[in-house]
Amino acid sequence: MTPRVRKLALTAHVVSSVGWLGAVAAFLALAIVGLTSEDAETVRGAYLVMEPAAWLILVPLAFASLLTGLVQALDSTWGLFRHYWVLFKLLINVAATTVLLAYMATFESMASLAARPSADLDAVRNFSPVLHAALALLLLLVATTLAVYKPRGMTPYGRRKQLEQRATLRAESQR
Amino acid sequence: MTEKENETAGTPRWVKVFGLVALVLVVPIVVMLIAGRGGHGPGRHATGIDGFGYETGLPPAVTRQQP
Repeated sequence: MTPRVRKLALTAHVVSSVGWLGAVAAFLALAIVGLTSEDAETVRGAYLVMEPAAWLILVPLAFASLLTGLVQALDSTWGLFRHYWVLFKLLINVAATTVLLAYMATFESMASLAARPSADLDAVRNFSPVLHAALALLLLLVATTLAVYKPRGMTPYGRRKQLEQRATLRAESQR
Repeated sequence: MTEKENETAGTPRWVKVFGLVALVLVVPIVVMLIAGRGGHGPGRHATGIDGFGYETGLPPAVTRQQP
């Protein structure tokens, strides 16, 4: 990649990752409104809007963050499995995306219940989205912190690769 | 061994702490998934009515009141 394209890819990764974090924060707010509001239409509306909003915002941002992250890692000297902080970010991203996809069925179920006029409001209210959004927010904050601080520490694979590279360079310089 | 090599040798303390925290958080979730119905489907943490794909936290007498 040219420096210009690399910068564009980094911008895409930062935007999608931080955007995902912001979207999850908005979902947490929505989930709290659904759980605590006294107004019946607001409660039902909160659970009705979660599913389409998740498909339109959360899922695309999660995949964009994962894909742009993979591009970043594989195109740089950091690699994907060489440094613990990159590996942890990958695991967090994959875990959060997997849980999000599994949770789409719950969004659908909650929306269906909220759409039933006969359903009691206490049955419509659900603590589950608050719990999931709060945990997702925590995970994404950890991932963002790792990306900013880049704490030291190479995996055994990374150390082996580093030694191989040094040996290659030494051999080339002795020729 | 240079200073830089010393810094990268072995597993850093923050990695061990992260691993331990992840283990403490992940193991109960895995146990709950195995002990429960499995999967991460609707209503795992729901308090809603039953008969709608929900695992209800309410007693049967309460949940049957729903129309």
